[in-house]
Amino acid sequence: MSGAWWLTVGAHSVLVVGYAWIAAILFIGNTNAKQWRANPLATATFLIFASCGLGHGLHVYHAFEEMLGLHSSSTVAARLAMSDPLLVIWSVVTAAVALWYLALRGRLHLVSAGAPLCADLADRAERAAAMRGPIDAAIDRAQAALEQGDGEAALVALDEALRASRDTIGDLMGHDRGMKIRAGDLRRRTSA
Amino acid sequence: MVMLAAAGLDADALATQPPLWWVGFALSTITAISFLAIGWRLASSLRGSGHIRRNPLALATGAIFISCGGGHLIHSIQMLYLYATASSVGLAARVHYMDWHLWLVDGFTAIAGILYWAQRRRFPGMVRGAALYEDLRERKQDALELNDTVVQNLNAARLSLRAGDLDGAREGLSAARQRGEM
Repeated sequence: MSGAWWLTVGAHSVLVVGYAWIAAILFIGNTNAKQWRANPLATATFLIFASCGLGHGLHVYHAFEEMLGLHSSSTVAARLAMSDPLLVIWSVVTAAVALWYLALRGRLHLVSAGAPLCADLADRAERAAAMRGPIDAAIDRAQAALEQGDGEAALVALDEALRASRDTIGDLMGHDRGMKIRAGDLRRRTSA
Repeated sequence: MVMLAAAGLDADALATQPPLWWVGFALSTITAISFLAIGWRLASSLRGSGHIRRNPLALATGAIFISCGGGHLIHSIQMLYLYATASSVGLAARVHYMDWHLWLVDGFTAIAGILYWAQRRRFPGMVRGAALYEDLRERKQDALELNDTVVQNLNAARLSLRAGDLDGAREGLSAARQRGEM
């Protein structure tokens, strides 16, 4: 028997930790948002990760069962099955996918929040698009007033443009439900 | 086969036992089919939305299901190796899957997979929600740039206007309008 089963066991161990972590995030999210009954997709997602994590844990347990003085035949069988190159490669790929999913944990609240958050996001996206119009219109008015030499009207229009800009920024940057901004989330594309 | 024989296991000995590995095979196969179907359905929703690259959560969810489903499919195929050749891996897989603990957990996984599949009409909504989230993150970047460019230039124009510098005010307004259109 080759030592390739170690790779499979390593990948399965990563999967156990990764899936348990994801399941914990979903458990906390579903509980806080009271979504266990209202959001069956979130409940099913938690069950998938919890049961898959347990399953991978059992594979690892079988590979080391002998060390506990239990069924050596079971350990030999588990290690041999895990040394299949196809399973070795696939397990490593699966572990990589789990790590990728875990890297997106900041977005996992979307699974728990479900439909209400989707509706809120759609509403905000529409509102943000609609709010660019008043800023541009106020700037145009200020420019026109300046061209006519009407400084007072230009100042009023400028104040309107500033107010509209701040409203838009405030609305988009607000710490609303599930959209907390963390360090490094927002980086300027160009220097200010 | 030598390792297994040393451990008291061989194909002949296994043949005398009830074929309980079929339970493990059935559960693993049900899980594989449901997971692969979910992965395929999610991928279809994602392709339909036209934002595969901009929706990492939906993409990763699909990849999780495909990778897990593929793993279960490999376990099932391993158990069928013996029908094609005298494979020690095939025998080992059958022995491995005669454990009732594994049946229990795989049973839960299969049920969870079926429950998830039953929610498939919600997949497009989930894909859309994740895409909107990415869209909103992008908009927050825009808001930051709006502050850096438009608001700063408007403030500069306002100060110039208050100081009676009309050229400076025009310049600030033009810059705000131009940067806002970027």
